[in-house]
Amino acid sequence: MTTAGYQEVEHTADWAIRVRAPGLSELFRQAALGMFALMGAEPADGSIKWRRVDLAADDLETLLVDWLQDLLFAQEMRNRMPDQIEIDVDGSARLRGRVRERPSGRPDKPIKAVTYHLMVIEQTDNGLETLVVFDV
Amino acid sequence: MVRKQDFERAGPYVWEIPTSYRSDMNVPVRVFADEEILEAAAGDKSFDQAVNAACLPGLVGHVVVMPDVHQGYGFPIGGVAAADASRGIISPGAIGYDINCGVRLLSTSIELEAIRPELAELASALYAHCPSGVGEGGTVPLSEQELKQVCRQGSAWAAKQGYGHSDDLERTEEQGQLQGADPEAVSDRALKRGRPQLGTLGAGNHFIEVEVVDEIFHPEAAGAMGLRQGMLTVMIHCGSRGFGHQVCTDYVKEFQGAVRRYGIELPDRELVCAPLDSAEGRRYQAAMACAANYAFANRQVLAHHARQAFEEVLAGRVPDWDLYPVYDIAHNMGKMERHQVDGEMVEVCVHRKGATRAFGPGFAGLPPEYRALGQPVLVPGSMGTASWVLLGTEGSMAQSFGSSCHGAGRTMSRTQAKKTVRGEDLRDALEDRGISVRAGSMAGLAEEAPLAYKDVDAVVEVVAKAGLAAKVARLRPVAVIKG
Repeated sequence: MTTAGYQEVEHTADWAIRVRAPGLSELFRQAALGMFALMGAEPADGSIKWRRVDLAADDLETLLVDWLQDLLFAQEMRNRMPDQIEIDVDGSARLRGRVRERPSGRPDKPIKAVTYHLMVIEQTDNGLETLVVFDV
Repeated sequence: MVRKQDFERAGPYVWEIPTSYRSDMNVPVRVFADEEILEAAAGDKSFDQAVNAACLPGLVGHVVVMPDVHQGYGFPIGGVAAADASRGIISPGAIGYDINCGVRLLSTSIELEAIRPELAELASALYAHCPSGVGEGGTVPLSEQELKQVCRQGSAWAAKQGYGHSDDLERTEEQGQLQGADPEAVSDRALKRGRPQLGTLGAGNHFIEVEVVDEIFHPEAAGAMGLRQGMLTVMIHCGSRGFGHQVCTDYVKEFQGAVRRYGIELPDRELVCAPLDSAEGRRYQAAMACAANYAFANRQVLAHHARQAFEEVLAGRVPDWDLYPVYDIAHNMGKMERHQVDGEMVEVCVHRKGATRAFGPGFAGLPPEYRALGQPVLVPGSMGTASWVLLGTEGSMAQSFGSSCHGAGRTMSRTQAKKTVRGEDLRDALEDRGISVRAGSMAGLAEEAPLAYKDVDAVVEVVAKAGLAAKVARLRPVAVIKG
């Protein structure tokens, strides 16, 4: 895996990705890109708009779950997917920024939820890493 | 990782992991399996997750693991855990995101051979009438007020609106209405997700199948259920959709703080919980009941649409095209029940995640025609293989908190399944066997390939030989509809 990115990890019934990045903001951005890649949602024609995001949580893992759930909600309810992500995540578990969203086609594989299972954001020799397991 | 040598044999089909295996276990783990299933299941994290589940506070008896077990994301799929009502907990992750994912079975008086030329048309009609809801709305858009009524009333709300018959409710677990539902315990986001999705199937392993009764093992029970050899049945597998997923998401998040407040230490964050006798625990129960009722209503609406499809294709071609309720069961639920533990009747919250209630004869909550027989247990197999109708037994009451298996159980990841088989090839192979397939996603179809699942016949054989359930009928699919 390159310095920043995601990789699908085998799981018997659900899906999982391992995400890696030099810092928190990029880790959260890559997790979002990985989730939408798994879903197989393709961009569709239509209006492209920026949406502000401001989330806070008790810890970084909860913040990551909240962030990904927020994007899932936008996809499910408004058929929107991220086109560009500009966010800043700090160590106090605060995420602020904006997401440019465009219409999405029907996802090939909808995700029911983001789980906390085995999610530990930790520093490794290659930067920050975490596993994200999704319920499908 | 739990290995086969960590088990103690407790019966011909019962294997136990004692509490001495790990110091934080509160109860042992009992696995119902034959040797082959046990060895295969030891290949993923199923048993480690069962050991983690055994660390939940206030559990009684043992954690039960069914032969269709596979690893989940915290609690194993195919797991049952009972928590004492006064000192135990409730854990949303031990019930699942898809609250009241379950199965409804309907019988007919239609012989397969009489309508075989219409089978493809029937499959297409079912696909058209029963939306998957992926990228599209349901057939029953709800106002917020109506959704709250669905939360409280479940199947009864749907029947009052003209979706199905009132006698559908008698043949539904809890009569399609779990008590204690309070929409005030449900978040705005969950309500928003629930409003457009009633009457939708969903994707993944959800499906509608037309089946034929292949073999009958218990003629008396089959007769009471309206199952006759060679006649068609319809099976609907789906749950509470985005509404239930959001309820679980909300409370898994809220209980991250609850475990800190109550000083509960757990080996997995997805097992977070709150005391049953706490404000948080009561709120989750009330929200869970809302989602359970939504799922009951969902299957009630889908059954109505299935009836519409049958009427459209078969009215005038067969004497009786209608669908009749056999039963509707949940396999992701938390229920307050009374069970015998160490010789005493105890009130417990039974968490079933990928496991089905299987109450034995005499249970007052069954309709009169089933009371002496036991509760129907519906076990869908993998696509293209068999499904089963079983009966709950006194054996399940004694051994597994009145529980049985729920399906075939996965053995292969979705990624590996897609690498092994193409959806188009699978569809063609099923069609060659006379099974009409309608699916919204070929990738999704490949993920659900039979080779990714255990042999459902072997799973059912274990529960039957272990005395958890008795065989009633084996069903063979002739049409599969997937989102």
